[in-house]
Amino acid sequence: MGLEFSIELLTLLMFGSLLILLMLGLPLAWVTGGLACLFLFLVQDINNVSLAPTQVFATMSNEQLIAIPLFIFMAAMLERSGIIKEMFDVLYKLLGAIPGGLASATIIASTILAAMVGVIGAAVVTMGIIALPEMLKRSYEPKIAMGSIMAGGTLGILIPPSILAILYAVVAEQSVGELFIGAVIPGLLLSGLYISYVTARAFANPKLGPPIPVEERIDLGEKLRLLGGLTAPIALIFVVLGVIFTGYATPVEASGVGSFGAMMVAALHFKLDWRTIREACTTTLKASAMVIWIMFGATLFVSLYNQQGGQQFVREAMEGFGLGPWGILIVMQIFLIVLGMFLDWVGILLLCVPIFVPIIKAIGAAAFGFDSEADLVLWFGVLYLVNMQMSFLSPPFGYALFYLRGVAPKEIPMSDIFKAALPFLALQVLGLTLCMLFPELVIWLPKQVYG
Amino acid sequence: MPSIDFVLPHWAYWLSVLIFPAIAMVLSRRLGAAEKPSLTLAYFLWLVAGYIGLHRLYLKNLWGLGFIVLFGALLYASGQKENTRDELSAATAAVVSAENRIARATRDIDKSERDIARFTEELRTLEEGSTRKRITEGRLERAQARLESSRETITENEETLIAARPAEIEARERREWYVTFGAVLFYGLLALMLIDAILLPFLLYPAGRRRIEAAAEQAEPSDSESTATPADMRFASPRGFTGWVDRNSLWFGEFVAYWTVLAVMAFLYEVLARKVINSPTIWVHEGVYYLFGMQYMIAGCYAMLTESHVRVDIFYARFSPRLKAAVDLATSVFFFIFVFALLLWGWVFAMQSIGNGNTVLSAWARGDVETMQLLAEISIMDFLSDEKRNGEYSFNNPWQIPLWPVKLMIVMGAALLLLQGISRIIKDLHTLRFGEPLHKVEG
Repeated sequence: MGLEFSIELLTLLMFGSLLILLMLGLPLAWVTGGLACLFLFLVQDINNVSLAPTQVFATMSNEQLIAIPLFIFMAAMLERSGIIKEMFDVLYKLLGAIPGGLASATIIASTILAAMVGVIGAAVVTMGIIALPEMLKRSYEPKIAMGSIMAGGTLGILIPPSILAILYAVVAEQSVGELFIGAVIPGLLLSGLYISYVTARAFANPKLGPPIPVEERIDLGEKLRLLGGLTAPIALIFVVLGVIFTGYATPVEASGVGSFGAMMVAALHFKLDWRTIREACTTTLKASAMVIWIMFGATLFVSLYNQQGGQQFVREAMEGFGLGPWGILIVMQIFLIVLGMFLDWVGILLLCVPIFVPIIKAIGAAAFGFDSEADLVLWFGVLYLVNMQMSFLSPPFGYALFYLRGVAPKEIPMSDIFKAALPFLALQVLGLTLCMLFPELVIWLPKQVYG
Repeated sequence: MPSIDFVLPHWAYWLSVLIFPAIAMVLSRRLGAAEKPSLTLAYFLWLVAGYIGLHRLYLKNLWGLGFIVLFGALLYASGQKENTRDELSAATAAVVSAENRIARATRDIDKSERDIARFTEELRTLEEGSTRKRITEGRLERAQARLESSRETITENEETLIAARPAEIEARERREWYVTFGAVLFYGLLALMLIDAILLPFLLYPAGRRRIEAAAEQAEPSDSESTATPADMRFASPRGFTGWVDRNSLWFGEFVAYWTVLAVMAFLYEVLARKVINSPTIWVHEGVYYLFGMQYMIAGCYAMLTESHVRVDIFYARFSPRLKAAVDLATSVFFFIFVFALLLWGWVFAMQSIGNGNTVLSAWARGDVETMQLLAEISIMDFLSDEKRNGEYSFNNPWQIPLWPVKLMIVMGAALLLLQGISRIIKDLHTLRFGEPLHKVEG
């Protein structure tokens, strides 16, 4: 129809209606897709709606995106192979004698798991089923137990391979491999923070996480034998991350080979049959359809908004408040944290990153003390990944909270699960701040690998 | 070692895309859970991962680890073969360039010597102190200097050659060694696999059987009861139009879901072909990403039925069933805007793509031919012959996969979503009228 809206009014209309429809419970994919088509008609012309299939086709034929279904498939296959339980059993016996050892074992197992899968559901649900009853039986403080399960689970989307990193790389047009490597140190840093926290709490007050009784402990020889049980997971991590980091194969190929490896692990556990394959395939289908359909809609929505000058408007608005580079960055991070409380990560990524990244690029590398734009963009990407950890853990709508609710004993109230998440949320804020203050944490490793 | 330039023919691509899910759907309904070691699976593992001895590891036979070592060595040899080829060509280039420089310098010496002879002759005939004599003397000096520098070049390059020739021979020997080493490993591994193909039944029966069953028992039994009917079936209405639509969505979704396994196998082939026998393919990457592109489109309806599209349910979760249904009906307007945009403009988009060919189907898509004529004239040869093109092809690489079926999937995905949307409306209307859902989804 070619209606003329000022950018202020258009912003209000587009994001206002987005907000209302979201609150009414229409799935994000339909909200963004429907609004995009409606506004294409309103501000441009009915014929411009032909942008919809064109954009959808561009997403369909994206070479990087296919790593998302493949890594989800890998996780679905591993989940059904029994490898996760095996891994926890080993770590639990190794660390049981230390105060808070079971919580540490949970976090370490989650970290190893995170290096195999790129999603968080698998780790939280499985650990909730395996580790939580074990810890409660040993009279661990439920909040410590649940917190370590949820926090450990969120590492899945930070530590490579992570489907969040893949999607971010596609949207921000960055190298997936670099983002993967950049996230390694922050991921291990967070994991280390969680472990230190639970260990410190347990040492200060052994009632929170008592060591297992002496008669159940095992000797060194037995411990070494148990380590053999970790061979399969470690080998799989070595293959998948090894081939990506050495440039032996692309991340996409690594996801294919990793999925094959996961099927083989399932075979060795006598779990590979057509029924398992069917379940793994349909689980993958649902999870990837969720991500990709939001991408179909949101790409259309944001590209229309940016085309109408939205990006420039957001930048000018931020500068209009008298914010410097760091001010803008901090406001962005806070905005992401707040969004994370209500919206899921795919939506946040697809709505915010296409607007934020060009703004950060326009501010320039020098303003943040970087030599090159590549470093800046990489750093911002990893900050974003670290930030998104919080969206899974923050009450009232963090996913991890609800995954755990689904498997935790009924007598634990939801408010306890919320409270359990809070100290770990604080640790995540600490981790994010550290990565902001010391960018070397992010960009040092990629420099060593790629030169 | 062989190099394989296998290019998957288009018909084989489309055929496997259709046949594999069909087989998988039948088998996943017929066969029970694995739990017990099976000879079929052992042979399957032998086929796809026998080179790392997985069939033996599966049968709890540790000799499989030996295969891993051999395969690792083979990968190393293949990598070294590439490296040494580069080293060899560098060494050969060094020798050739030195030899060329010597040849050129030799020619220069010849010329300089001739010049010197000529100038010396001329000098003798020229008058003392004349301008020409001075000029000729200068020329003679320069010729002598050239002669000197050419001689130096020869000495230098001969010295280089003394080092470069053995280096080249050494590089050639190294390369040949790795070629032989790689070939021995490759054929050795192949031979071992062939031997194992015969041994496999004996590994399973009878001695290994007990060991394997002990291991299988240790693996926790999966609760086969709960997985007998897949959980997603509970979302489908039991009867009527909605039941038909829902089962339809489940069927299409499951069909395309199996493509993931095809993609995994294709990538495995690509990586092995490139890293073991240095034969990268032109078709795997493109074939796989269009496969997933088609899968995303069809998956939309499956995800919608199974409530997998995320929504913000801060308020929604607290609504009564009636209010939920009313709100759903109101907001579904936006769903239908999106779906109709994809359906109608997707159709235009797909027809443009199909119109880009030279068959009667393309003529029909351009609007040059009536539908009746299309039905009368279309023939199977349009799809099999190499000269016939039914529409747009990909020009990313020489494989030239047809793009129009991929674009047509946008229309199909949107049509399936439309049906699912109508089914949803019927259910919502029912809830609105009777205050309770048409059928309750358990769990």
